[in-house]
Amino acid sequence: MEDLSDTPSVTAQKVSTAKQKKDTADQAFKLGNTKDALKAYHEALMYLLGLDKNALQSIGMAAKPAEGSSGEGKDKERTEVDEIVEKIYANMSACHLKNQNWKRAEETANKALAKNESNYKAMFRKGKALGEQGFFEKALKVLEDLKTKNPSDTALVDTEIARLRTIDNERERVHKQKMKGFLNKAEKKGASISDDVEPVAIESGFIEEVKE
Amino acid sequence: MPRNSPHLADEGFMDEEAMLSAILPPQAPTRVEELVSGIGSVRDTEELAYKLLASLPRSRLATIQRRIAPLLQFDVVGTLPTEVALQIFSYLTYQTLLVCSLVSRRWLALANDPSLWKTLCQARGWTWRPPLRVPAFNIPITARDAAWDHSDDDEGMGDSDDEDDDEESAVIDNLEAAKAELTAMSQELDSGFASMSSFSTSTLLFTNTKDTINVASSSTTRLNSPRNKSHARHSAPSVLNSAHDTSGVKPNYKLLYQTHIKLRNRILSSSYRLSALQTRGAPTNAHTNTIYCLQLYTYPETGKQVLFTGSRDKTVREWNLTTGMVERVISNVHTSSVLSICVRDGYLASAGGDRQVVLWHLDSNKMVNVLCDHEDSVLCVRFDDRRLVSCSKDRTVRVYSFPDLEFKFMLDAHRAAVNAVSISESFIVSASGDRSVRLWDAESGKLLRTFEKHHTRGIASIDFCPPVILSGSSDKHIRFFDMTTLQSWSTSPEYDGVAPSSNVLPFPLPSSNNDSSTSGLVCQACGSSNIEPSSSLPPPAANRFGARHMHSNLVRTVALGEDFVLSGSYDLSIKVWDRKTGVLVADLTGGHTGRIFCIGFDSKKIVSCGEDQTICIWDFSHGIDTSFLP
Amino acid sequence: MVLLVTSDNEQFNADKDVVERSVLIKNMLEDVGESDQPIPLPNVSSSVLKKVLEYCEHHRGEPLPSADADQSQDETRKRTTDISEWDQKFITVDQEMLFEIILAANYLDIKSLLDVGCKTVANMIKGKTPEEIRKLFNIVNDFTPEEEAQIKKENEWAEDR
Repeated sequence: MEDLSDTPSVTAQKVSTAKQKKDTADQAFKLGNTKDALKAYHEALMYLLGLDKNALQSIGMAAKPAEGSSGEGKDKERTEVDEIVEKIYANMSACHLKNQNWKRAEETANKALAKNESNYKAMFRKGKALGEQGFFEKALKVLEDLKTKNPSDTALVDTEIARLRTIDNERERVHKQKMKGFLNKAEKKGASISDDVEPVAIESGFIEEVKE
Repeated sequence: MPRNSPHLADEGFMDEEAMLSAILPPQAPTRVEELVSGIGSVRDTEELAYKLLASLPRSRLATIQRRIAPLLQFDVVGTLPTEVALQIFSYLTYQTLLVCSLVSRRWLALANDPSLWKTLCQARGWTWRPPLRVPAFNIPITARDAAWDHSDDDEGMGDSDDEDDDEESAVIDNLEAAKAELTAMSQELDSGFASMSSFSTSTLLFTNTKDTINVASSSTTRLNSPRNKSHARHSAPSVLNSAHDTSGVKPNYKLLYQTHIKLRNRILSSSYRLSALQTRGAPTNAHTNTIYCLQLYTYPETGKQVLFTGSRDKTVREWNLTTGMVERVISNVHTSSVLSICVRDGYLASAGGDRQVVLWHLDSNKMVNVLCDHEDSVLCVRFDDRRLVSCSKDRTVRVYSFPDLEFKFMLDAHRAAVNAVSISESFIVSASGDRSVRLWDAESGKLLRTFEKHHTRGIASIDFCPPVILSGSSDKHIRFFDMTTLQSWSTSPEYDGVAPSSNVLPFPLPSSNNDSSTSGLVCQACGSSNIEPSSSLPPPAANRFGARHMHSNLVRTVALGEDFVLSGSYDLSIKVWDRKTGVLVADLTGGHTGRIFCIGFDSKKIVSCGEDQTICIWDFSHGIDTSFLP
Repeated sequence: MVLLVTSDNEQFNADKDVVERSVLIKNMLEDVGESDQPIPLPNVSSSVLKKVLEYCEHHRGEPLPSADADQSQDETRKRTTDISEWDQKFITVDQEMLFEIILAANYLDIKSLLDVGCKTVANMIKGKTPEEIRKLFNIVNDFTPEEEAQIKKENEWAEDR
């Protein structure tokens, strides 16, 4: 890594290769070809991740302070590369949603948000992915947060929330049916069901019944 | 210059140029200059360099290796991406971080990164509280009327099964001496002193010299010294210096960590400012008799901290710590002394010599329930969100659900008065005059363990934070005990570290979720993870107080802290001990002239009360901005 | 078998379960599926990849840390003394290679290797004075004497009394 990427030309080349790949990927996605899109996105990332900040500076990509950073330490400076990476992850998340691969959709959305916590598309996709995985509470939190940050999309977000809620209610209903049987059995045994006041489980696990 | 060129031996002697051209491809003699000056491909330069080096004798190679060694050393940390550098720093202790901040500017920036300090604070359970802009001042102790009645007995303690009254006389002797001093002092004070600067001036800002411990005896001379009289600094109330606007301030974790360490050092060096909330007669609505119990309490909604006290005068009073005034008096409830209180989550429970337990709702300022089940004075009451527990001279412990106070069960195994009780989510710990500490299951009331042989006399006080029990006894000793490992330390040389008799089994608690290693145990109340279950504690090392220290009288109140444990005694002193080793770190004297009945503390101060009707505040945070400490 | 190509155009063949210790590669394989086409690793050189693959090969089969685990929130203080013997030997390399390995582990998202590398550097720092640290890493002291004195003063609170 040291000698080759030290030269500005090589670095610039990597960035331009990555951009090309991203364009290819974007095209593929527009055509609905998620597999090819993902492949090209991954390849683009291979070129962009791990690029040295100094090398970037030498090709004129100095880091600029991020807008609206929360300032909790860590470099909040972004380079153009950071922006491209963010977009790539956000788009990958869209691909995964299309493929109904909710876990990967959430992961990639998170990566995009790690680069820019105000990426509304990524937030939306994360919320959706969470909801589809069954984490309705978490999804709601994310989506409500999104509404406050970006009110213009409220209608869209609300529709999604409603949709997820329906799914969640259905899931809950099915779950309750199953649990009914178990609960009856448990009550007869006298197991304590939910006792948790304090989160630390030190005392309780050993002598009392194991809790959920 | 002829050189031994073993590698080129076949080719015989050659001069430099010839050799070079033999090495290099013949077509480009200028290539050498190019490569040497850094133009051209790195790979080719590398190849050339290798060939050159390979042509040198080994001794030369060695020299070159030494010469280039510094070139191979570089600022690894500074060159890595920031988040990686921060990961490296995340493995360092706070002291090492401070060392790193002196290395270079880049390292300074990294070492000061808030995320590192936030993690360090979180590991110690230290949180940042958005500060309320509240100036505080301490009301120093004014001249005291020494003529108070010290023949009151301690109603907050019951019988033991081997009561011995020898100690009384010794206590009285000390009190006489204290009385004499006070009369002498009050004469001094009459001479035109401002009412503020008084007794407190002689106890201010001690450093860790031996003199501080003997302050009581030398106080008269101190007052004479001109330095004290003209000490402008102490003639005004001390105001916490929050020069900056404290609203909406971003958490500064490094400062938080620093402040905690500073406070800890203050304790270690006994650097405190002593003041009193009340003395006899002032303020006018203060207690009028022995103060048996106290508790610091922070209102959850406003973050305001107050002090509740219970007294022989049958009332409970609420003190505003900033103004020093009593803001609430709960009276006409108990018909006898208030012996114990517990305040939590908007409720206050009080236990009285009238055998009652009263539950008071703070916001609505109303009594919500009364329990009259005990057959003798109720000596201690504690509650959490599930249950309320009271213990009494009638030798029983009673457990009720909270807050409806429905009776659940009674614990009836002690053979003498149960002096103190402490609870956690799953356990109840009781301590009795019968010299035993008992561990009960809080849900079922089942007796889980009986710990005897911790003390040779009745146990007067207890504090409990699973898995640790701290007990103070009539035998003048305190014992710190981990019930999972049976490891303990005590101020009594006989019991220190000795494993108790074989019929006591260690009480196993499951280790915390994360890992299998020793530091999984975390104290629920104080968040400390200092407990090392399988290590055997070394005997306390000698410190500036001498090899071993102990109270010279009954230990009436104890408290468990994160780094330290506290004890207050009939011997008029409060002692601070290192939690891990039991080494004495501070000896707070000169505050009380009567037996100390209760102590409380937070990160900045220790509060104590007792027979002399004084509430002492030992403030370690003087001069430090602690507005962001909870 | 998966084909990897480094920045200096060297090709490496490795088993899928070995290279999947790199979450970056694992995700790619998962998302895209296997193919004969080599995976380009333009930000890793061959000498470093060789070392990295050696590590992955040795730790093959071990569970990967979960994606959500936020180690910094752990109550247990981060320890640097728990590096296994093999890992310790493996990471005993010159500073340059150590640096490269850390960068590669970061790039390829191999958390355990990154941890080992970082802990190793942390251990190099511990117990040293600022001057010793500077010497070890050939760092220039860019403070003015006044600045240095100022920092020393600010750090006084940490000294044991």
